[in-house]
Amino acid sequence: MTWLTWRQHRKQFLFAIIGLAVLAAVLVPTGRSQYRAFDGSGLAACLRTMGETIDYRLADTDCHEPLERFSAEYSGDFAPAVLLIFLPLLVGLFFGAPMVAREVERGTHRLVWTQGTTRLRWAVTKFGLVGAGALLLAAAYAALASWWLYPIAVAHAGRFDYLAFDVQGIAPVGYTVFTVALGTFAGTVWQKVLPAMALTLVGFVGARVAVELARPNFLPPVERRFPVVAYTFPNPMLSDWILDRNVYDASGQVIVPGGDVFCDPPCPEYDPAAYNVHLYQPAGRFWLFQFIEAGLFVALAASLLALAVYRVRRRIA
Amino acid sequence: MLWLTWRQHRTHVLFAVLALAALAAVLVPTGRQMHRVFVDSGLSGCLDAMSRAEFVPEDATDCGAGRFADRYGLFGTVAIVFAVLPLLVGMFFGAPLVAREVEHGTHRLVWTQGTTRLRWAAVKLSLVGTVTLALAVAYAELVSWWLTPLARAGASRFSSLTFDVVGVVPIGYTVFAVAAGIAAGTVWRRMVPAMAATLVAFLATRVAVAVARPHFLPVRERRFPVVTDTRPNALLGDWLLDYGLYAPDGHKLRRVYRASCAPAATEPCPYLPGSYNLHTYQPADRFWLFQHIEAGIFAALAVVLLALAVHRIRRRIA
Repeated sequence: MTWLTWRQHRKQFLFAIIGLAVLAAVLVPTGRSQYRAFDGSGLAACLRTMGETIDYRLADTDCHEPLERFSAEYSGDFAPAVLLIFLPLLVGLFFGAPMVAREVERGTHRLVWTQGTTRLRWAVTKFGLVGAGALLLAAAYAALASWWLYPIAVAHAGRFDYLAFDVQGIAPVGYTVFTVALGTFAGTVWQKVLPAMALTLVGFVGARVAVELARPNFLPPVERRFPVVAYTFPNPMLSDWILDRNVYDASGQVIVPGGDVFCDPPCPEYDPAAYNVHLYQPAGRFWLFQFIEAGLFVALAASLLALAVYRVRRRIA
Repeated sequence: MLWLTWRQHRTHVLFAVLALAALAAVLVPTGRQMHRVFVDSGLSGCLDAMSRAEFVPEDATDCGAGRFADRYGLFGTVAIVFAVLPLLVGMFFGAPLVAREVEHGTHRLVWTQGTTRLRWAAVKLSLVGTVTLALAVAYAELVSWWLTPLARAGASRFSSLTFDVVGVVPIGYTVFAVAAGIAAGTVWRRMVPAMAATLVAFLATRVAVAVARPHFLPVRERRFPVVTDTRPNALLGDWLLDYGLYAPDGHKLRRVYRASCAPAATEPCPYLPGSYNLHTYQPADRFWLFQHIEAGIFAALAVVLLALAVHRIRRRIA
């Protein structure tokens, strides 16, 4: 059974390795030059010494100059990186959905089941081996993408921000395991490859969007208040995930929605009692959120796989 | 044959229409909200009245465009995700069109009922082609409308990945992706390999054309001195390709958007006299020209792939 599974899926695996190699051939050289610039521009060193607040009467506490030097070269790299969020979907579409659907569509499962291999053994071997392959791939590309994105994410809106969070750390591994499980399950329900793939696509987009919308509330956000008219303001480079920002006047009315304002004293345009409010998730929660997110998707994957095994044992003729 | 094609693909069409409706259900309310803020905050009117001059005074207003772009920056990031929509259409509509029939052997039934291969191919291709075209136009229009305020206030709509999801290029990409899927199906004749081939062909072609795009037409240069009290007008929407500070002898000192000293400044200017800033760019008014060139390239490739597919259907598939 192990040999059969390997024989059935080795081509897919080969293509996946080639895909990974192509990705590495793009990301490794560009990443190395990014890291060179990250260190060379002084941004890396500056970020290490930055405090919680910036006082811009002191020279360059906000890493402005190294940031500009770094961003001049690499700010454009963030946008294409967003497309890496689709890698888990591809693994699910091409590894997960055909796993059961293709066999049942062509009737090849019957040959195996009449050779003394139980349905349970068939399902466990297939799911286990293909799942392990997908897991290895996911771990490799997640590690590669996390390493590559780190400097630009830090220089952009922080690595906690929407879509940057989604391609780093262990979250992509969770997404991949989930999508493969979803594809497998879809194949036991529709038992044809194309509908199973379509369902995988819909399920992936639906689950990802739903969790993305829920993510800001995994833990209660923290509030930060600070005056508009001041020489100091919170360091924007901390990689906090700022969910909402507004400016209020002394009576608590919003005067600038969706933004923040800093103004040197004396500042005639703003009341000295006006203040900014940030609602944010602190940067220190990054890994906690990664574990919550990956945990959610792994739990979903486990239930889908259990359902898939049940359907293979009881429902497929 | 018409009825058969409709019957075979109506679930596809239904799903595609549902997906489009779901997309519209997200984009229409968020887009209306963004458009309202764009107009109500005075940004729209202020941008209309903005100077179209190439250089503007140092202290010229940006109408609050920067803050607007910051506030809605996430929309711009989300829009990048739409760059994969044409690929999905190609994988799910194009690749199975021939591959699925041949994999299941159902083409033989039709071909032995007095329907010629050419007629079979023509009806299938034109019906599925028309539906995809209609879908592509609908989502291209929707996304273009949605991104308008952000494209006017933020980075140029010419910049990579905004360019790729607005205007007519998404239609070109979609037609190409579907044609690539159909052609892949006539070569591999099985669905999963045909879909994988569509994916690879689409990515490779898109990357190759995107790399060539800055050179569709010769770039323009904008050269301006270091000692100046004006700055380039960033709101013109030019596609900035490269920038730098150059020494008087013409070699590049460093890559910086703009190095400048005010003429009235009391402290001495740190740059060599005669050094200058140089921007190379594609002017904003070439946007539609570039859109048509890019869409044209993909449409032409699609025609070649479709001709190949028809040839293979007539001569190669048993």
